[in-house]
Amino acid sequence: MKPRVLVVDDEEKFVDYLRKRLELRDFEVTTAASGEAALSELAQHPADVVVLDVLMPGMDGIATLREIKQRSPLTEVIMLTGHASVESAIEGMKLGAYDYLMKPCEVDDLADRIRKARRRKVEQEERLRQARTREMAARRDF
Amino acid sequence: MSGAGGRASAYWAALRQKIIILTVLVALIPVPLVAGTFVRYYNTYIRGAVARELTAVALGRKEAIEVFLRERIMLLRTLAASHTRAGLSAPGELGRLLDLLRAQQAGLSDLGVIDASGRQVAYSGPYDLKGKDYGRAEWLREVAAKGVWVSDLSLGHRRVPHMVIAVRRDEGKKDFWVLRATIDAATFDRLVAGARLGEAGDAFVLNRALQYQVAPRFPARAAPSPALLKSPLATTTVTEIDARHDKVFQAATWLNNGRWLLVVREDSSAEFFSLGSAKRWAAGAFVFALVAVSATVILMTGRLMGRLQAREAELEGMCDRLAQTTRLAALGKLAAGVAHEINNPLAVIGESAGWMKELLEKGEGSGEQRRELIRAAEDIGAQVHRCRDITAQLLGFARQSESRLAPTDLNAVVRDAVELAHKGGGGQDVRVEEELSAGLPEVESDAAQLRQVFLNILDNAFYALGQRGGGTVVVATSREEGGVLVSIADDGPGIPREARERLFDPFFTTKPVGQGTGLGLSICYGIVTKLGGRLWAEHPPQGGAVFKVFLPAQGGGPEGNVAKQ
Repeated sequence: MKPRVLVVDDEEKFVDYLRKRLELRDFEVTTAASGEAALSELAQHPADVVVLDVLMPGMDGIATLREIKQRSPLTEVIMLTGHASVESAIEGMKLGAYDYLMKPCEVDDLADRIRKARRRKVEQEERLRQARTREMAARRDF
Repeated sequence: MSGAGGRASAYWAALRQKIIILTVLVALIPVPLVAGTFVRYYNTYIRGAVARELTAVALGRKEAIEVFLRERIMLLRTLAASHTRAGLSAPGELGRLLDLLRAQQAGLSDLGVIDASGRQVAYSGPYDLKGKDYGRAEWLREVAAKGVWVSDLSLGHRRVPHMVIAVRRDEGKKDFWVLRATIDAATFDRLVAGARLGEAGDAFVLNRALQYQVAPRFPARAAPSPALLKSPLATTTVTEIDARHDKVFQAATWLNNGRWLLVVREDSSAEFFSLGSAKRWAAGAFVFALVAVSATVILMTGRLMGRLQAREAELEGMCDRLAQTTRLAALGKLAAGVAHEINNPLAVIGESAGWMKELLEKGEGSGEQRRELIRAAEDIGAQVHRCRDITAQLLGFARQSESRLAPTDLNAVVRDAVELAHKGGGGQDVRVEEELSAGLPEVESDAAQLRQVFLNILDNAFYALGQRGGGTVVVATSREEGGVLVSIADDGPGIPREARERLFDPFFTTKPVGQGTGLGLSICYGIVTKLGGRLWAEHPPQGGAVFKVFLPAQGGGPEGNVAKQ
């Protein structure tokens, strides 16, 4: 299965090109132009990794991140930030973002990190599943 | 700079002068006030004391004189009552009595007996007056009527000052005779002289015709004035007379049933001397205080001013540093804003360039791919354009001070700005109404800079209206006194109350980060001010925002930092 990526940025052109280039690298890409749009997009099409711009009008990146982590904790988030907002990126890391990248960034670098993030998500899902299995087995033994 | 320095030093000098004058005045005004009060009080006190003393002396003398006169009258009455005319007329009898009286120092110089017809029937004394006829004398009628008569002091027949006392003696039913005696003027003078106190004291007696009955010791000092005669009968009047600037007081009291006035004078310079010396001391003390207080105040004020000035200079330095710090902080903010603004298009450029590269690497060369490549190249161009706009705005900020003045048609400038604003991509849902007044006078101004100003205001209006899905902007021009007014009004949400004050501050923006540098309106404000005009915002109660630009017909701001074309 292709990794599912949601790209969130208010810069339409940027999102557009990023989608095309990520699709070329074998990702399944959806896009959103704002934090609110991202949340509703996620509800319809769950993603493995969200690439999230920190500075957006309306709901900003940090608020969106917090909401995503609350709704589906296993979804990994990579923050995109300008030089002026490194602090926000660090705050994002504390809130559970997987990584952050400075804009403008190299698409191969981004693709690499998305893959790693997705791998971690898969591993965690695996671990969660094993834990559940053990739990169920223990219950049965009992 | 030197002009400002001159103004400042003039300010300090004026302040210094004000403080010195005020302090000295406040410190010294009470001194003469207090001194004056004491002098006044002391003066009144001395006057009272002098008046009491004079009154006592005058009353004492009056009493003595009246007693003297009464005693003479009693003496004569006793003599007359104890004798008959015939008895007294006997030769040698009057002489014997006169000798007796002289021996007792009764102060009588002669005696005479006058019958009812006025003939002197007997006389004893230094003059030969026996047989003298007083039949027509006024006094004879008086003594006949009242029983007693005291004459004024006069020279009489004898050319020697004397005074006469006469008493009536009734003998038989209708007949009477008069006993008459002369009192030495010297005796009376001695009585009055008893009231002359000290070296300069004086006393004299006047009759109602202002003739001296007893002459004053110092006739030259003050002629008796008719006002004296108005003194009330029963009391003693004390007045101050100005005699050679000495403090001379006089007390006047009536004698002899109101026929004579006794005047007692006293020179009270001695009493007032201490007051005078006190005044001199006070004046000296005042001068000393004036010098001491002035010197202290001038010294202290000088020192205070020095400190104040130093503090002021320090404060100015601090303000300068603060301004510099603020400028640096602002510059940092500006740099961050610009970096962010430029990073966005750069990110797009980077992505589209990468996409182009990837397309070319695939190298299939289909028509669809060609179109993709062309679109990507166009996008790169558009983003570069965007970057150029940002740098242009920055340059506009840096170049604020240069203006080129030329006759400008504001209507044309406004129309340009509206068109540009539409081209700028904003305002799809915004309707612009132009109410441009025809026949507007041309103003001396810079069309390019004004276009930037109007464009900026319109952009803001479009942004505000776009946020809530559309609206109307009314752009109006009108002729005003001394220039032209341009008004740009929108029916958007209006400017939040808390933002109104800082509207024209640099780097103040209500837009989300990355969408506004906060420089637009501050640049506009700078431009309009430089052009000699005014830019302000109004906030109608029904909502929306109105920006107004007034431009004078003759351009050029007070700064005059303007190049004429």
